[in-house]
Amino acid sequence: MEISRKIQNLTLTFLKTIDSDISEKDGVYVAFLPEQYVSYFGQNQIKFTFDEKTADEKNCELIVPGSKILYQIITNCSNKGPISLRYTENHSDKLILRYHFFVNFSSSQNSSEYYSVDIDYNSQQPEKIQDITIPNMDNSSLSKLQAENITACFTSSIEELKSQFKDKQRNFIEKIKKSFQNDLELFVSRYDAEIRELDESINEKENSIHDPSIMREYRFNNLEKIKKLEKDKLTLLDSLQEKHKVDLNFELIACELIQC
Amino acid sequence: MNKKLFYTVIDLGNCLQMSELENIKIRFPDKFGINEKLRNKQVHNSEFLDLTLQSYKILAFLKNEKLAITESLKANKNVSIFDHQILAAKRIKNELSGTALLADEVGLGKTIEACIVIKEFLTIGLAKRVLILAPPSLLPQWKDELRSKFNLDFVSQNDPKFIDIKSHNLLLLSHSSATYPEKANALQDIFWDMVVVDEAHSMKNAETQKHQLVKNLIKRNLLLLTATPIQNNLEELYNMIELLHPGYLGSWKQFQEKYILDTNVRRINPALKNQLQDILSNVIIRTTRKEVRSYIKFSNRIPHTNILEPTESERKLYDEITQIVRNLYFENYNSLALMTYQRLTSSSTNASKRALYKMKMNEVIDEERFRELTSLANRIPLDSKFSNLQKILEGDSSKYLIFTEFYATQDYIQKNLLESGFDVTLFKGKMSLDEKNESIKRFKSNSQIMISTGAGGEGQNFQFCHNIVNYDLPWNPMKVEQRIGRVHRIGQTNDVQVHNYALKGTIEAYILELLFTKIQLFNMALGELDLMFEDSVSGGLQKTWFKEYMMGTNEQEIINKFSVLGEDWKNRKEQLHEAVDDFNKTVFDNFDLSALSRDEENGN
Repeated sequence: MEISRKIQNLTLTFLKTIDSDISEKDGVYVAFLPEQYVSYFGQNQIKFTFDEKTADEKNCELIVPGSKILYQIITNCSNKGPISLRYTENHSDKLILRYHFFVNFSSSQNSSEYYSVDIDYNSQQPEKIQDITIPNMDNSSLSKLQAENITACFTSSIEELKSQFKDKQRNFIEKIKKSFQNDLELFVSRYDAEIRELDESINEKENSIHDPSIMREYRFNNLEKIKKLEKDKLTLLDSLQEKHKVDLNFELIACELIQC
Repeated sequence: MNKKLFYTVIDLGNCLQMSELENIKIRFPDKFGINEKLRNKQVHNSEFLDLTLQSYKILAFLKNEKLAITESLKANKNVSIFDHQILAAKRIKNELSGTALLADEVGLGKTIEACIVIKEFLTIGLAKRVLILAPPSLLPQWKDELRSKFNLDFVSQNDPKFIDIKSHNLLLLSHSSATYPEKANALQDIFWDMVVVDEAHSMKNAETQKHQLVKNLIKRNLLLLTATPIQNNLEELYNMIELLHPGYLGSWKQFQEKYILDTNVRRINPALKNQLQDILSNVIIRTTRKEVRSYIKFSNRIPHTNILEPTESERKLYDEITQIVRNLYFENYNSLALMTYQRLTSSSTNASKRALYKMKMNEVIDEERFRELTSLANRIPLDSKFSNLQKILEGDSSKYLIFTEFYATQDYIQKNLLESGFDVTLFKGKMSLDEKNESIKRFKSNSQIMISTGAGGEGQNFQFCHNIVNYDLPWNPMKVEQRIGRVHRIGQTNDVQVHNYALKGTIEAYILELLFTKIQLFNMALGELDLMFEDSVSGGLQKTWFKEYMMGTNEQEIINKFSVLGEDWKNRKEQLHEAVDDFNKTVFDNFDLSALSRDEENGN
């Protein structure tokens, strides 16, 4: 599904799910928001469209990446952390726990992806199911769950996730380390060169300046500059560490109990 | 001693070279949270789950996009976005790791390019804390543009919402206020996802507090914005690149020995041009006017300076009030108050009456003198400035944006224009946002004339108008530019007519004729102005002019004094132009640093 369709689907489904009253005419949607969402959106009704031309002609918000309403919807949805029950068409009593993760690698470079892991409830081993799943209104499967198995499945899902992302994680860290080392070498060699230049100039001046007081002053000034450069170098190292700090976040965003 | 120190230094260098990346955090979810909910048999409607998954999938897609907000930018009616701006933002995000020197020629919208990058990084979660440093005169413009065009609410120091440095994720500060020790320390304690420095040529000197501040900020991404990275020599460019990537060009001595030919440090070794091209193109983006001419029409500014002969009553009223001000000046009365009286008096008869009222309230003049001078003001049937303006308006049905510094003058112009049958709308700094928007809407649709007391205008687009009237003159050159900038910006297709008014013999006439006209201020762009006046202490210029005017014992003496000031400005401007042009010819013109041509190279 192209991204604009995904965005349209998310927006309309979200507004329906929160029980807002939506009407549409000539591509312009008007949604009256329920009381509990008015302060979140800062208004009691939103007027929007998914078509650029309509947005221009009818003076309403275009829902595309970068629009405030879309940002608010994504933020709201991503905070839900839900659990739901589903089943496959020809299911038996087999239970699968599907864990949904959002994997976000951030540093001086970034990468994000969505990933899911299926774990067989009984064996607590990964087992990918490809069948289409359907919302399950019957929550009797929940009663079959036992605390120790849930924890074991969860642990297994994390192990599977770790194994799936092992290479990507290593490559990402290596890439950032390399970038850090490049930056570090550049500034260290630049500062060392300047310190060396100052140091050498003291030696040179000692051969040409014979007045001890002038030489003393010259030496003092250069040594002060060197001290400052050393201090700057340490500050920059801290800054560089911060700039390249790596945050690899494997966020569990949702979970499904699937009867297969 | 020296040798010992030398080896100590190298040891420290080796120690640093062995430094490892220390800060690696790997976060897995713990067994609580969702897992805990499951154990407690808490379940949700599957629609919620679908929404959550959809939102994360969209987020992942956007994070990996070249520029996720492109579509919303193109659809944004509040701002015209051009190809070179989108390409520059894409390049900054995808190729330059969010760190670059944006050196487009003046008037190509560097501020917008930076805003696009900020918006993109905030939208997709690559940034949370953003700091913008700009000259004080440009802070309102930044705030307006970020809010009205990008829906971003940055807090500046003068904002009622401002608490302290640490309390705001989106912060806008002036260069100079950020260097106050207390603020600088607070700024340096924070990790900034992005720092943007406007008019970054003021960071050209590595020894200044401004440069040191930016250098010591802990930041991930840094954008430096300037149209003129070099005014004097290549060390200035070197110092700015040092801020972006310390050590990228080696030590100054190494850079100088390798790439620079002359002792003035202005000529680059042509044999190493290609090597330097590669180096600079990894840190600088520079689009030229020539490159964008196919899709941007650059209109001209045509100034019309009207220095009018005052009527006898106008002359008498102005002279009487000026004499009172001059006497007080020599008694060391508060000069700011005196400048306000003088500016009011120069603005209009109605504003003169306001000055007289203030003088009476401050017991500068007595009741009798107040009545006498007010009566003189009341005998002036119509200001000479207004009569002249009315004739222009009667002969032209196009829209006019009239600026004045004072409400008294605004009321006066409005009353007289309405009586003459014109459709007029007002714009006041103290209006609410809704009132301002309503006023702009009226001006765009029905009213021929808008009278504004603010140079700002909340970042709104006035490109539908191409006539500006400076009914009175701000003594601050940057404010003059901000007024003109309301209509003369990218997208204006007509030449902009700038009508300036002053009465002969007034201080404004001298400022207008001998200073502003002499340096062709009305044709200068914001970047140029900032370069010219960057060393002037805030308010210092105005005080100097006022002093010269007060000290002048006769007209000729005042003319001489202002001519000397004007000549000084003119020389300064010429030197500046010469330096920048020369540098562009010898350095920048040799390199291709454009985002547009790079895009073509990539076959897009």
